[in-house]
Amino acid sequence: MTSTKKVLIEVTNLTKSFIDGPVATHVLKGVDMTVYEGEFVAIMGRSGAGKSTFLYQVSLLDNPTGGSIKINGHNVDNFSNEEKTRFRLTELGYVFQDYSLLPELTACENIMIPLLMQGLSRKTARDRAIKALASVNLDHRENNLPSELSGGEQQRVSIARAITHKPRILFADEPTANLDSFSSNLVMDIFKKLNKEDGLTIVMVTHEEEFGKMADRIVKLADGMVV
Amino acid sequence: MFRIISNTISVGFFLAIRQIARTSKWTTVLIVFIMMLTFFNLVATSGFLVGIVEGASRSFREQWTGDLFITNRNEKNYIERTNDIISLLSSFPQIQSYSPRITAGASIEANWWQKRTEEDANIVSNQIAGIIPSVEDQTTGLSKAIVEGEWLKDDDARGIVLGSGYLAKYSRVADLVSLLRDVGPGTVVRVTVSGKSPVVTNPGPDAVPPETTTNSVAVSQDFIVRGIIDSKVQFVSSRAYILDSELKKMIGKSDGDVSEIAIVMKDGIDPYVVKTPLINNGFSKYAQINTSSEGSPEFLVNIKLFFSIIGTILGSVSVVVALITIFIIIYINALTRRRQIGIMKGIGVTNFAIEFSYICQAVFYVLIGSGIALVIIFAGLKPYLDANPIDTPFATIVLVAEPASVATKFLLVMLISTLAGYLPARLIVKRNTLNAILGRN
Repeated sequence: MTSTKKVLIEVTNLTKSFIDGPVATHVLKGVDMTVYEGEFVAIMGRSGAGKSTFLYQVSLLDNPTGGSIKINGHNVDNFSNEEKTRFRLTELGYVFQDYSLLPELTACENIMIPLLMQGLSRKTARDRAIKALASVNLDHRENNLPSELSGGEQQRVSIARAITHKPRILFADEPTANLDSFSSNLVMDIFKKLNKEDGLTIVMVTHEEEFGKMADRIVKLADGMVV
Repeated sequence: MFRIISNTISVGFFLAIRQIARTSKWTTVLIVFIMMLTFFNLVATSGFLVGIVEGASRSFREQWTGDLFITNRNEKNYIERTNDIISLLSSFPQIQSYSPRITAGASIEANWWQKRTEEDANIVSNQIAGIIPSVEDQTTGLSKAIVEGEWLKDDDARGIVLGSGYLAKYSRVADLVSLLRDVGPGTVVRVTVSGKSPVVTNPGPDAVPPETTTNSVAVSQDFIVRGIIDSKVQFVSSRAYILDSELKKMIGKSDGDVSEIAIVMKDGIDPYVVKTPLINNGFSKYAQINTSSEGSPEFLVNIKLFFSIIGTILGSVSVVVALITIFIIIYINALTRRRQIGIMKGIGVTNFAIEFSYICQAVFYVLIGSGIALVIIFAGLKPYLDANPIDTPFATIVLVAEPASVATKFLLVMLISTLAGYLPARLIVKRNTLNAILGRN
């Protein structure tokens, strides 16, 4: 990746410690990283290396202990919780390891939620959600509840929900960990397509070498530091 | 700003509808049932308490005072200028009926011819009322309270109706007080009242005309018991009733003054329509003029106040119980959905949208539960109890559920449900987003 591209994420000396009584566990020990616009970055490392913790800090789901994060020029360190929520709604998309769909909403309704939150009408949100489902080949499952879908289908719905509001960055935490190889390949194909065809910036945590290699760049973490 | 609020409310409502629709039906039924019982408790408990007093007040009004009750002033034995008052009453088309009564203390004795010693005496002292039977019945419907025999007829100069309070067989404390024994319809009783005999004083030759005063004498007359009257209103059961003409003769009263006048207004007419002109015409100098509630005996007023306080306390407890119930329901609901709340926050749903969805759910449960309770109360229980009041020795109890009062309680419960829906949701929502998503404490 060339350095002429726009810097989208700039992480400087990021630390995260968990304190349990007198015991402090330092999970991230001063991570520096830059992600450019349109880049597909895989974060890899052994179990306990701090991959997911790093992703949670960068994606504003958690509050780091120290360091600085800039996203698209915004210094997000001083964002209030409400500002972070709004920022996540407009700028970021998430794909979790366990799909994290809302069980009482259908596939279509799960996708509609961020769109409705952005102020779209129900009809428009529904139309967009159906299109997003079609993009992951699940338009025939729009009225199914998550419990009626397979793991791979749920993860594709989760991807559709993550991209339907056109975020600037897609964060994925072990998106293939709970899937069989067929579904995993399907998910990764979607990611590749989103990155290459739509120019979506993707930051993905994975421990699977095979999928890591599909990214533009691999950042390896070990013991809370980039190696 | 308006757009953000609008989006928040729209999403909150969207989430609430789906959570309610897709949660377990049995859970919904259970929660609605609890809410129904809570609201029912709030309305019915105080409604029955007030109903006890209301039942007593209603009986008191219907069988004793009417809507307006005119009595003698405390320092007088009779209502002065009764004829003028009655003349004015006759001019009011809003009055349905009124019944003048003249009262006196009396002793009533049965089986006196069998008495050998004073211990054998079958005698009781109480109050006797002289009435026009048809007019009294039209005003207070006392004939409906006859439990033995029949009501008096207007020309029945020898007839008497005894209140059950005179008779041992109707008393629970007959062994403690002296009451009439073996008396029923057809029994001859001797009524003795304090009458008056003219006495000429200062009969000297210079006294022109001679001064005439009266002396009290005991006047007795025999009557045949026509019926026994029994009422929840103790005053009614503690009297004997004969024709007013007979009582006037016995007590030697020839003017038109009476002791009390019970006035019943036509349906929906405020008794003040009559009371105010009576006062404006100066009749309050000659009589006490009170509405039924003003004329209620002190014990009834005190009981009313007592039950009102109890009702308020129980109502407050019910409100707190409702608050806690809704709080717990919503808290458990939110707690079990903690992870979903985290996910929603993660994908950009604002805290208030999530909290609003729980407020909507609380309001929904309360609305449906209270709605069912209202239907049960107003379409079932209240009409039934109005037609079939609960009979107690004290009063016939009805369920008092005034629409305005119930509406106030309903609004109060809705307000509480909003608060009780918001607070637990707030407690869960404000927790760390990532911890919620990962299910960490």
